[in-house]
Amino acid sequence: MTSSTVATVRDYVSERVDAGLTWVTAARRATYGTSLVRLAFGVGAVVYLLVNFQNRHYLWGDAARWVSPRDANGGFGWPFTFFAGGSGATELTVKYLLLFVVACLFTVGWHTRWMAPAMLLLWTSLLESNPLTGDQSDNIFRILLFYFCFADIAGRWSLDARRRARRLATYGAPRPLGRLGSPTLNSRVSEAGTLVHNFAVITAGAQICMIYVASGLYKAQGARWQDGTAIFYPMQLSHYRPWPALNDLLVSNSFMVAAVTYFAVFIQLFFPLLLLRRTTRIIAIVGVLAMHAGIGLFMGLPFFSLFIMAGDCIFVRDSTFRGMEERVRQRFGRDRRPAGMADGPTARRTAAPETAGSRG
Amino acid sequence: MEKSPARPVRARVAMVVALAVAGFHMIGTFFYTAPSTPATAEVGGPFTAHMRPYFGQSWRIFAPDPQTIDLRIWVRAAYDSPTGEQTMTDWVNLSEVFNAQVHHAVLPARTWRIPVSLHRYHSGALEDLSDTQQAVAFADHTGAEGREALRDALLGAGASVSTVESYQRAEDALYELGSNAAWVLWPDVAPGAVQMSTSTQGVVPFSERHTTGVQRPAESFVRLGWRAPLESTAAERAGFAEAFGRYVP
Repeated sequence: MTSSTVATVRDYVSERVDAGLTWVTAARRATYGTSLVRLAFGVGAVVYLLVNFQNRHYLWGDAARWVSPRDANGGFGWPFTFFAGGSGATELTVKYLLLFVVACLFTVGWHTRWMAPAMLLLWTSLLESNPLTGDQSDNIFRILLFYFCFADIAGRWSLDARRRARRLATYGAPRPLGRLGSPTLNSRVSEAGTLVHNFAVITAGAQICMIYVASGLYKAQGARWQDGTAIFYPMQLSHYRPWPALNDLLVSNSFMVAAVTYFAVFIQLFFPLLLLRRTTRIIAIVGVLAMHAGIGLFMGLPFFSLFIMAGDCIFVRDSTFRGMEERVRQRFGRDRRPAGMADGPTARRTAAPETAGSRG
Repeated sequence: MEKSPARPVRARVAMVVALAVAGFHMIGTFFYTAPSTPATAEVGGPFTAHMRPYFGQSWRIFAPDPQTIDLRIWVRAAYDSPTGEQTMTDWVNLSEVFNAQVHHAVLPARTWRIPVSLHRYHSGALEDLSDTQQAVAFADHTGAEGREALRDALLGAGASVSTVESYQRAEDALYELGSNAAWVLWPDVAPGAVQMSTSTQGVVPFSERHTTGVQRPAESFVRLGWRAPLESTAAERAGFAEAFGRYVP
């Protein structure tokens, strides 16, 4: 290898590393996607709590002694013990309503930096107090929300975003500490917040990729996934056929069964690779969204589907969301955002990181 | 591309720390979630402690092969009739009622998972017993000392203390459900004993789905012995009735 080749390689690597470092420090990325995660997780949690309200005592309360031989709080210790041991009827109802209120505040993005960890603690405490009724949606929610506790998930469509925009208009610069601290300290905190936010997004993205790749690898080992019939079987089981006529219709055609079976394996296995180019990224994201919409509808797993679909949204660029948002605003009414939030792409790019948009 | 700014030392240190933490966690997640390989066995061990319980996860969703059997839980009770005659109820398929909660439901309550999870939990514990020990579980152990009698019999059949405790925890969970069911399903009698059964039934294979007259394979039952009903509080009966009763076909 010649010295010029070495120099070329070194320059290329240096340029890429520098681009990567700039990516994690210059602006907060996936601000729309992470905000959509907050909305989807929040709405999902609120609906979940409403749906299970009537059965709360048998699932998590003093009527749930049937689960007590199974495990001690799913192996989770403090601080995830708020619901452990089966609360009394009134106590459970009060705790349940507290979680409901926190979920509502989390959804609308009210003081999210406090509501997100509160949501994480209460939600995990509730679900892990009965591990016998848990499923993979609990893992997705718990793990992703942990990462997003370090991210700015209230940058868009939230009360926090409105408050920040007003502060920006007042002070002319981001004030993550509010009235406290000097401008320099606020600037440092904002920069650190950007770095942590972007690493949280990267970690969440990596987690989602590993979910898909692991799922794809496990499926690739199975004979029924290899012979193109796998999706037929779950839909024959009583608890995975919420709409029997629809389920039977879906699996009545051999070509359809084989196509959906292979599609599920390929889209999961190659998901990270498909993200690398814009065209294939669209195929990957639309593909996994469609797959999980199908699982939610055809197999009666709406919360599992909603939570993983929400996670998929962080792979959609901010510019794409911004374009969609603008089109919706133009079509459905005038812009009521405060001045600081109604800035155009140029203004966003020059704003400080706390409110900066992303070219993701 | 965005212009590269000059980075102060504190920013570089922060980036290195963030990269190290995120990198360690991602590598741990990879080894924990991916299918087992020789490399996993060699280097994946240290990450397991980091992952459990908070980052515990399994993505064998319908894989390697999807489940092809329905899992069901059955219960029946024995009671003394007003004439003093010992009477048995018919078997009741608890799973059918819980599965009904899923049917035509866009947003099903989480209760539907109860029989499926309990079936898996108990079946796993039962499989850890030898044939001789399983025969002990299939025998009747009634009366106030029934639980201790079952424990002694399992130990006598060669099971270790931890295996017996593990099995009895699983059986207790199953019989808690059955006892709640017995009190609610037959409210006019006081059950003197409860018997549980689990069953599995395969589905018609894909290749035979259009075959005229094809039937699902016969249902296979695992009948456990009679046990004294476990204590059931008013709250438990009310909770079961609420979760179960609204869906009785």
